[in-house]
Amino acid sequence: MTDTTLTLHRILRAPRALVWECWTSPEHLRNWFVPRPHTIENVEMDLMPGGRFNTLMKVDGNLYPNDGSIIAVDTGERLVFTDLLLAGWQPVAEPGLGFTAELILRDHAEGTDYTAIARHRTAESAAQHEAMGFHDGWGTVASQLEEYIRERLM
Amino acid sequence: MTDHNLVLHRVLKAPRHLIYACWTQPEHMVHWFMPKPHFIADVEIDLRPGGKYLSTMHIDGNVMPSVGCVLEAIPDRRFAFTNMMGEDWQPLPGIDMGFSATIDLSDAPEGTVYHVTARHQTAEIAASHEAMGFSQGWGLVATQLEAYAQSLVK
Repeated sequence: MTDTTLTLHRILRAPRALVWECWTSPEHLRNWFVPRPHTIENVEMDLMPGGRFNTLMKVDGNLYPNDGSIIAVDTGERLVFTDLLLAGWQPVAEPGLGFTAELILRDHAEGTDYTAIARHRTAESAAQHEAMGFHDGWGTVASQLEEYIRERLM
Repeated sequence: MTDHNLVLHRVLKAPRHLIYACWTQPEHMVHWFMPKPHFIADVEIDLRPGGKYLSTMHIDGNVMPSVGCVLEAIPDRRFAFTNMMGEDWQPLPGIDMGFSATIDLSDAPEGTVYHVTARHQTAEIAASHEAMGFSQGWGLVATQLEAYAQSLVK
């Protein structure tokens, strides 16, 4: 189902443990998770299968809640989350994009081999996500993440 | 969201590990999962988070394929799956009755506390699932499950 899948692959010049920490700690996540000048106003994350993963994004003064859940956690290596289910495996009535996202981290000579996979219900939905700026957006925040780690945590 | 949920709570007179095995192994599933004379066949379970959970239901001569994804598989304690995703958490299109089901098992003096929670996208879907015979149907197959699991006791 490759036409329903979008993939971003990068090498980040930052240690894998810190990349993981920045993805899984709300206090870090809010600093890089959306392209600037947009901001994350709140993050709620229970880092376990079926745990909540809710973010509140502020774009041009407007607040956009994105509620979902964590599906799978392999510490330091893989994080899977979705907007199809809420905490406790509660199905969402009308999902936004209707996606699952899988973040895969591996060691690399320069830092971290970083792969983000977004799976969608249909090819149209994937195309819509691409048109909304998946590669630019996820690429931009990957750069922000790398910069945040190098400037603030190393 | 309690009105989104349907719950079946029973004590089954069979060991917990056998109840778990009956829910998670295809060769056992086919013996109890549908109210007789209906039956399921072609069961495929990849017992890991993100693993496929497939079967075909045979009801009054109609064959209905059922596609899903394992969300949690905690041996002898909990099994959860959803029809909103396929293998590797691939979101599925055209879901008009999205649910997740969680089977929680714990010890009882007589055998196993069997607690099934079916969570739905909306209260209306939950109500229609109830009208389709959730409590009666799942109650019936719980009795079939108990009898079948007892037959496995050596």
